[in-house]
Amino acid sequence: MQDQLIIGANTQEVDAKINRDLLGHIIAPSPQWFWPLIGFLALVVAMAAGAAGFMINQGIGVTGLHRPVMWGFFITNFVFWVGISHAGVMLSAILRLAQAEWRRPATRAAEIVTVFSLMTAVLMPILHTGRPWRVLYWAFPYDFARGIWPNVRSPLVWDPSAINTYLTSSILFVYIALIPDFAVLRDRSTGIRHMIYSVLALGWRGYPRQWRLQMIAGILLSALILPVFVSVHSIVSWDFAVAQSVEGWHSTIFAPYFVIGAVHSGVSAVVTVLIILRYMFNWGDYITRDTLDSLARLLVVVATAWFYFFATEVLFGLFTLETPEIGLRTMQIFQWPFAMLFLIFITTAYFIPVPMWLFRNVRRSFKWMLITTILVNIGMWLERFLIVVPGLARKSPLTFNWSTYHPSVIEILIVVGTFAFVSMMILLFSKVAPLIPIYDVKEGQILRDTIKIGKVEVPAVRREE
Amino acid sequence: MAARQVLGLFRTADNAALATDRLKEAGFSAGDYQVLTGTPYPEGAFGEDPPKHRLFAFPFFGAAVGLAIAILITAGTQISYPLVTGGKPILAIPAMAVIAYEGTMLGAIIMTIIGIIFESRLPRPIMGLYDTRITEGFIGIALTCSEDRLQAADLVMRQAGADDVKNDDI
Amino acid sequence: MWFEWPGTPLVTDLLAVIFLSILGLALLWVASIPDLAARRDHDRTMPRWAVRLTMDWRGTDRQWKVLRGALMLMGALYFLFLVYVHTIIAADFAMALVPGWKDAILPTYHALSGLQSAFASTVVATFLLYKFGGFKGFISVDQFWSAGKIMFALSLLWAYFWMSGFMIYWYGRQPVEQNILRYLMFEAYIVPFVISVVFTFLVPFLVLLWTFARRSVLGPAIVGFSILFGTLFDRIRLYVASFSAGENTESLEALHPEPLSQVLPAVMPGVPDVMMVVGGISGAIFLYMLATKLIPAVSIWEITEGMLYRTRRTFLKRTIMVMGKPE
Repeated sequence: MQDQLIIGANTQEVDAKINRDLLGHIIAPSPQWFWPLIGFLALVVAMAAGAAGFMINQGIGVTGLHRPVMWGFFITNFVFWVGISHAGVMLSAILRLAQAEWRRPATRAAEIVTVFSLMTAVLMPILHTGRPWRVLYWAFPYDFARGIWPNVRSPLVWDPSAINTYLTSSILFVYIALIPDFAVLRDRSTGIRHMIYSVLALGWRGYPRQWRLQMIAGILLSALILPVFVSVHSIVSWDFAVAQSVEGWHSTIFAPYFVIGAVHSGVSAVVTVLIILRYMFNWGDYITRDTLDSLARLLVVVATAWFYFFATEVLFGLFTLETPEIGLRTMQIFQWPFAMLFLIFITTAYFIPVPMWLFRNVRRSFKWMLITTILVNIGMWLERFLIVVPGLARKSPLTFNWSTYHPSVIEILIVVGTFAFVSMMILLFSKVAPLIPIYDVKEGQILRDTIKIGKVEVPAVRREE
Repeated sequence: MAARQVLGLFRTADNAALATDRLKEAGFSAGDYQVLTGTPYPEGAFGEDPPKHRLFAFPFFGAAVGLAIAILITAGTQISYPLVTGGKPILAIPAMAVIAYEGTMLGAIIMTIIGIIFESRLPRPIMGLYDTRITEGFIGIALTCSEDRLQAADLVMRQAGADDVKNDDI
Repeated sequence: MWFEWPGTPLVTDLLAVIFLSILGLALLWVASIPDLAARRDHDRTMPRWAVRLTMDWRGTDRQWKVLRGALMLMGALYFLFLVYVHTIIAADFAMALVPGWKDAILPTYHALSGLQSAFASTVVATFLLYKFGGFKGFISVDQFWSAGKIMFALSLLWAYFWMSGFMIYWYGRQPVEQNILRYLMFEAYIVPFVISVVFTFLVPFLVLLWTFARRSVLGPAIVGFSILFGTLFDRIRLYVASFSAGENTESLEALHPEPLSQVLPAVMPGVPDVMMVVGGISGAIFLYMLATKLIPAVSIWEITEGMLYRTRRTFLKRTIMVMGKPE
């Protein structure tokens, strides 16, 4: 599948048109809805921040967390956002290494979703501790006076190292790829903006050596970031899997299961974001039905792989017919309210979207892809919830510890606030740098060609050997 | 004789490629000029030699440094306050391996980024002769030559179909 | 004597493997119809039954369309089913309460390891065809280069799945799990374990890390041989070891909280064991060679189709490859 051909008499006209379309409201005034929308999202974020402040002031008791369910919405949300962050590497790195031409419009949006969702994910366990200022010495080795160092044998300490590695790598990756686009912005702006973009562009001129290194950068960094991406969510899964006493957690399959689940929810989220951006900024020429079709096919493969791991996890836990495992699965699948959540989860995460995606008309429809990918993420959020809470709720060694989990308003506000935060940051980013990589799209246009076989002109791509 | 710069702007890649031929015929060597583009063209499209770079040394160096720092931190902190947790040894290899792995990858990636920026000869506060139309799709040929050859270079480029030729007279 | 129908995975195993073989043979047959037809048109000595296999192929538009659709469908189905079969076979072991097997990742690990060694055997077969089969003009570095990249990824995944399993066992310090690790990896079966780590992961990783090794014929071929060797020992370690520990209650007791001295020694293979393994491998090679008497080892029609979609053109001042992407 190829990018849409951008019509123009010659390369220069095509490039100029691409610049105009993709620079959008960075140099031109923003659309009317932009700032009111930012305002609304900022309000939601402010409310969430207020809730967080209230929680820090009053203590964790204002949440629904209670023995034995010590991990609830915050940890679910943490795992969810780490999951979403895996989209960037999947679409950007893996498709770059596979030389898939259709990745071109999607990579920057995916990487930006990664960066902001990872930042949000980092916030969640910090808030969850209730006294965030005390958590930092426990994760980073800086407290010289106390003589107490982080316990490097704990996955909770591996988490910050993995997430920070991934976050730093993603930010640097986005920046390096942005340098040529900052050069375009430098050339199109004046005054203070021109100064800022000049600094950011580092004096980029665009001669062959610089472009060559950009190309190598893309491939080399993709190859380096891929192992990091696999390790991050594996380490997050080990937060659960190395535990001994919680049913359903002590399973060796957690690491790949979480990773593939992350890819599933992440790629769905990026598709959602791309469709919304397409309508917001009129990028119909760049995010085409072909792009959507290719993404949907990728999603079918990823979703099925996820389902395989999910089925493996459940079935191989159950077949040995051990009482604790049966008890947990009964609660997760058949007991209210988990039964309803499980039903919603399994239908929205797999059984509604994937059969729909098998149909070409659905894959090429923006409306249906938007709906199905949002459904997937609803399902995947619930999946994380169903992993975290039922196992903990069944831990009742002492009768006075019986409790079920009821999320409080504070937790709900904070979770909703994270969604608003990520959306707001993506939109604000669109005001500063192009969300579709300009030089990538221009390169795609240059590399287009056709091969005549008989009467047919087959679309082709020029490839360096 | 001072080195002067000339920049020719071409609307199409074919003209630019033709101009490089004409410049070579006129006695300029390939090292005298550079092709500036707003888009990556396939390597060698304008007849340039593949650039030599040592980028691949950077990740190895970064990985080694990252690994060393990670092992230092994990081993050092645990030895200085040895507290047995979970029945695991003080220097637990699998646990250290996880953090060492992350440190290695972080080191490799950071050094790769530095390497890319450095090998691209960036940052470059003084850009040299440049035109903003290059990012609009024009292809620039930036030639460095001596004062007396300035006119010849200008003429060659215009004859090859340059839309505009400018030099570093401000 | 109904083998506990339908409960036991052993029955499903058999059915699954039979079905996979049928599917594989069907895929092979359908993919080779155009080549068999080519042979039919030029070889008067082709046996009657082989001619019938060509199904009256004439190469009409409709026939090509059906062929392509069939190959796509069967290919997808085969891959899905392959993963399922590996999972089911490994499920035989994973579902037992045998230590070292009762492990949720074992089926996935087994499926991946199977995929990795399948790729390796394809590379080895391609290399042998290249070196000794006279196919130098048709097989080039490109094939080995692409296969090398995939083997690199699969070897990394192997290490990753191993680590996933290991971390869970190592972390909790449960005595049974610690003894399992000692038994399967670090003491009794340390030799097969080290061999599998070295040949299935370290050799592929260290060889394929370098571009010059990846982009050669010999590099991926060496890695292919290495992976096959390592996987054989990995299978021996996983399946011989655990089962011999679970065979009687005495040894099962040994894998419960007991001091180190109770960890059992490894089972050494006897001559019949070795002969069976060697015979099995030889049998597979024999069947492969037999098949190449009927079906060309390199697919003629796919190569010629590929040639239609590739060309070299000048682009500005260089020649560049143009690859058609029919969709």
